[in-house]
Amino acid sequence: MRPVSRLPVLLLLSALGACGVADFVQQGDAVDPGKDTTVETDLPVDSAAPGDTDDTDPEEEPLPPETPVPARLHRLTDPQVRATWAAVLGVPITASLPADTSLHGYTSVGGGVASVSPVELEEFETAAWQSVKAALPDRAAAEALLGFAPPEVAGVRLRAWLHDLLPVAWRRPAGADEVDALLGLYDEATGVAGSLVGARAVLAAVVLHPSTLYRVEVGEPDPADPARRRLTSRELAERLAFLLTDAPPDAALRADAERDSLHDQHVLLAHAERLLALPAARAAWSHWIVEALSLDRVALMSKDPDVFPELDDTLKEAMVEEVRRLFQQVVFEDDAAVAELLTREDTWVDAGLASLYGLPAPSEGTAHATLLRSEGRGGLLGRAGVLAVAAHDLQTSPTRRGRLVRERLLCDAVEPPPPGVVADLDALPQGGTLRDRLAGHAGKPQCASCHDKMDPLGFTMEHFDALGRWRAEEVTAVGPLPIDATGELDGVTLDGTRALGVAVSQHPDFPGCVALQVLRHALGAAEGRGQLASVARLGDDLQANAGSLQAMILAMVADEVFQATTGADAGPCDETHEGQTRSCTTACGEGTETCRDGLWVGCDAAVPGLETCDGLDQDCDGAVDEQVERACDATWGRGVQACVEGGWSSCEGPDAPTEVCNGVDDDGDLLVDEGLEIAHTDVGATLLGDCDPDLDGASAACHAAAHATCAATSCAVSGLGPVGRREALGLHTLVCVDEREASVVQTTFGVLATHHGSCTSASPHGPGCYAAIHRFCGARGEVAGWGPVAVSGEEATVVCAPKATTYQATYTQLATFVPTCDGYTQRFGADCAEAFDLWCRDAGHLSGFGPLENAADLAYVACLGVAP
Amino acid sequence: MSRSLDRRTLLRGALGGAVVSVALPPLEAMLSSSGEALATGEPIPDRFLVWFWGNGVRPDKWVPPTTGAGWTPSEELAPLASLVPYVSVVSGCEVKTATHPHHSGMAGIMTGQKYHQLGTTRDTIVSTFPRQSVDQDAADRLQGSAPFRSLEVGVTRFRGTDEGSTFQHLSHNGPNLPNPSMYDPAAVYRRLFSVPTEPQLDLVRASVLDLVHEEAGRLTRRLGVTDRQRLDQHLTSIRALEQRLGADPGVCGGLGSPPAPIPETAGKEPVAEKNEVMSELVALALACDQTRVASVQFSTCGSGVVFWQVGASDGMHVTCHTEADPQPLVHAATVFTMEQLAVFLQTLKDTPDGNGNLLDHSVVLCTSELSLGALHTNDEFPLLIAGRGNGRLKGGWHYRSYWKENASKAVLTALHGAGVTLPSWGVDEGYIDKTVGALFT
Repeated sequence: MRPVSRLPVLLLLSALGACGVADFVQQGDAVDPGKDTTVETDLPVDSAAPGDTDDTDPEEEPLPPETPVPARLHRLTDPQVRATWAAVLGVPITASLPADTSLHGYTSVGGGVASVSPVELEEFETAAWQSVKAALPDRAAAEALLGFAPPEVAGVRLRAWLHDLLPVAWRRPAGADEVDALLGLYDEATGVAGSLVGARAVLAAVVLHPSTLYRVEVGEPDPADPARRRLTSRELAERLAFLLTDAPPDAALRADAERDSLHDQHVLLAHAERLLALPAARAAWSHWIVEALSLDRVALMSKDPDVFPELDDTLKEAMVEEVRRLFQQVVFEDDAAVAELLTREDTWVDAGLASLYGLPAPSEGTAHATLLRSEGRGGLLGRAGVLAVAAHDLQTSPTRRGRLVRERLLCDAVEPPPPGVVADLDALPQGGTLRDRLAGHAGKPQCASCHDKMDPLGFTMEHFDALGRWRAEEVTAVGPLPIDATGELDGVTLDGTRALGVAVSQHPDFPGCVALQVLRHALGAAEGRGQLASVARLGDDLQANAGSLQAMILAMVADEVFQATTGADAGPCDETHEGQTRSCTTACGEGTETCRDGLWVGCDAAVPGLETCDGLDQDCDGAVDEQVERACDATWGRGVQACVEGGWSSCEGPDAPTEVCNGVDDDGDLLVDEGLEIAHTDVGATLLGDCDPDLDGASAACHAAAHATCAATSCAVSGLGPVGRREALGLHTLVCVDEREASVVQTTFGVLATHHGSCTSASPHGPGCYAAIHRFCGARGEVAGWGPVAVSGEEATVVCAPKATTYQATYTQLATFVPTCDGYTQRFGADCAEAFDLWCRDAGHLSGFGPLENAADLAYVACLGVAP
Repeated sequence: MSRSLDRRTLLRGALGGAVVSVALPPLEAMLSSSGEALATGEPIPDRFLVWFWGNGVRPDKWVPPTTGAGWTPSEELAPLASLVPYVSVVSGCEVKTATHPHHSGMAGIMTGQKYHQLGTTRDTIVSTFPRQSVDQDAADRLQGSAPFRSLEVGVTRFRGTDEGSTFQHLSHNGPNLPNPSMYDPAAVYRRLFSVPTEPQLDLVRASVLDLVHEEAGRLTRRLGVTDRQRLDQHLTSIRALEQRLGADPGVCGGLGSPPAPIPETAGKEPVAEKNEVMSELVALALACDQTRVASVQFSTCGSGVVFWQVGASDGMHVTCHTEADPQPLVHAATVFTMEQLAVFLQTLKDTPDGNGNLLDHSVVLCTSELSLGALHTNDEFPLLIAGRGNGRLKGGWHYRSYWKENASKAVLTALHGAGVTLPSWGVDEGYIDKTVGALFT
């Protein structure tokens, strides 16, 4: 077996950086700098096909060990649901169904992770009832089906009918209890609304049943090697039928599944060949090519309506239908090499698409035609759908078109650009063609490393505008300019889209990429490293069978990658354990978790919740209702009450009033306003005027508010803070200071600036003024100070603290009190005010403030009140 | 107290011709005589809403020039000028979970956690939310007796992606468990306000769902953890519908008729018209107490919506990347987007609710998935908290963070504003246990 060339989508790229961020989201892209590396040569295109040099590729890595894809639940896709319901109900399903989710390019992959959200459930339910009504429109229809007669006969008939019907719907035999449940539903519904509704109800339950809507994969041990798991015969039948025909297994396939004979490769392959020959297979695989080329987005794309007025839903559908028909011709009618999709010039056009291609309109409907050689479209890459979906709304995008070829046809991943890259086309030189402008944006190697993989491919498609119309010239700011459609793939120059198609069709990475795209879709899961060897093998199969996609599909069905799976196990979590589960615990109990991407995740044990006051142990710590509190009104003010065994305790408020500054003996010790030299005082947020501690606790407004609030009392001359907040009560805490601890001093910024030059009336607060005030007060022999607490022009009022004690603290220490006062997040401000207060109280003082001075981790602090 | 107001007239008056024709019942049908509680005796409920738009803003033109009370509107917030008393701005914050354009901001602001990447096999990442989104955090607490746990609507149409649910959906119940937005106003109307024509049939429908629920429950026992979570969601969805069947359709049920389709002419998406209808439908859903939690996805993250209204001829996302500084088109599109937000908020404000209006009793978190679209930046994150949260929020405040605080702080503030007093929100870098105190009364 030939070693595979570059690992498909080798995903392990180490791009150094990139541009064109927008190319990596769905709806736009930056047409970004790319170095034009076209080499002018006269080599004919055919000789430009890269040789098969893989065997000597020095960078070749061994493929990782093969591992099966984990078993999982697959929600059926839209066509699969319709086919299944139609098989059950015997009528075409026209109701609207929930939209599929496309993931990694495919709705089949989306189905591997999808659930059913509330809105989607409602859509399914509505669709189910609409469909069963269509199937059983009236009593006559129901009677024809069930033969309503005496109820006991109806029951027997119904049971027989379900016996035939349920295996079609559920792809497995129904249990007797399941049939009983449906019969019970029939009786109940008939009793409520009559037998017609009863019969409809049974059908609705059948089609809404999870066994209908999901394909369940669990797997079984492989008898030949019980350490390995494989899909069961039934699971294989489902995977095969839905993959090949987007429909449930038919009677013949079900019969072999029930005989458990699908592990016989000959039996399995015979079914595969049979199904692949059905018309349904053509429809199903036509959808594969649509998704493989991102053409599912054609219906969603928008173009500038003033420039492209012809784009409507009919034209969009014609663009996609053309590709489907080309695919059916090459892959099914001719069973030719799949690479011919890239070179064949057959088309199927309606009037709108014929006009776009410059072809005569068919007399009616859609007709076969051959593309104009003069336009140089060639195969798939020159088709309007491909060209338009990978362009912008107004202009083309060599980047996006090149990226589509790179990723979807060569499976060569292009790294997304890092955040912070500007892709500013308007800043490029104006006046040239788009190509000129992109080339003029050279000089960014980090961009070129990725754009060189995309733009030179896209340049070959520049003869087609954003809708895919041929153009001889590009309309630019300086008028029409001729198009240069030369580009390059792997160092070989190409001229035009047809040449690009030929080169890609002969590219050594193309077969492996087709295999990858098919396998991803077939498994309904993004491939992991463990499947890369399978991809390589299937790519070789494709080549070995003259490029026949049908042959490769059959080879895949027979391959272990299609039949093996993994199940539950315990142990380490690396790529070989992807999808496995093991037990896990939380504080609340035991559950299981899954190995995903190298991590054990999704532990389903009950999650500890927020403890609430209800007698239950939500946080699973063994204690009930612990530390659950709420604010309340107590006799002497706002208090807190705790939860005790589901009920609230009495309100713990300020049980005895303490002395506050009000000229009254609050605490009943016959002394008035005693001991209030330095008093922590709670004030409501509204008392703080313009001060918003959250906004900036060190603002002039807060200094002024603290000063004014405290000075308005009879027991203090000034104050500082707020030094904290009692969140639950909505209160801020100030420290009010009386004349024994504080001197209110009038000065000017001129004077302060002599102590620290950055303290000016234009910048009246912050570390500069803190230092200036500290030095100013020190010069007065008063140790330290804070402020300014009032500012009027050049006048400043500061407060000196004659009895303060200063210390050299560090932000490291301060952060232990309030984490954000770490010298990095905050050096001064509301959080630091609280931290300085707490630091001093921890040191035995009553309060404190700072920083008086600060440098690096050092912060000088002034503490108030005598230390013990 | 006389409350024979014709609410329909009020709505029409406010909007200069309402497009939704739901005849609302007089207020006394819904309210206790004091107007301070629902007729059921429940207090006027708290509502939590998210209004999301993609591709961010131009921060230099978005952040208001003044802080504190009564902020002065910036150029891009000018459309909200008349709503300032109801809207607070939180600026200068940063989504701390940033590592990948769009994905990290979207998951970060909606879940407070890094996105959950699906597979490592492709060029550009595919991701989903790591946990349920903030609207569902609120719904856990707020649903009460409302029949719908939450409502999700979208305005500008989705343009396709396979980059995972992070890119497509705003509301999530968990990884890969999105609550898709509804884009068809008539469908939203039918979902919320239609009543059964055959009540007996609803009993049968409920029986069908009950059977299906039981069968799905059986299946879960065979599955692994992730698949079990998916099926659990399916079960939850079944129960939600089942419980509504046969229930009282509510005071607003069966009145009026669905809004007429809005034609799209010449490929130009009728964004403003759609926004107006969706805004009204959300307001009606809240006023009728059909739900207490809603999200409006005005445009998806990284949206390619074409704002032809301001002269754009290409998608918004690509315009963010390619337009030269100072990006007049991006700026105009952002102003247009804020105009649509203003319509939404004004509709809530014009809808009477209890003794005030809906905006008095709601909190609306308004945000995007990044700040400056051109650079995919996650600092200077656009965050508005509208509504007064039943008196908890004062509105009209601009809180500016000077040290790039965690954007989760604004989200937790919005939750607390709506009475959802979670002790913390977010995980790891996104974790926060602090709120913006200045926004509270």
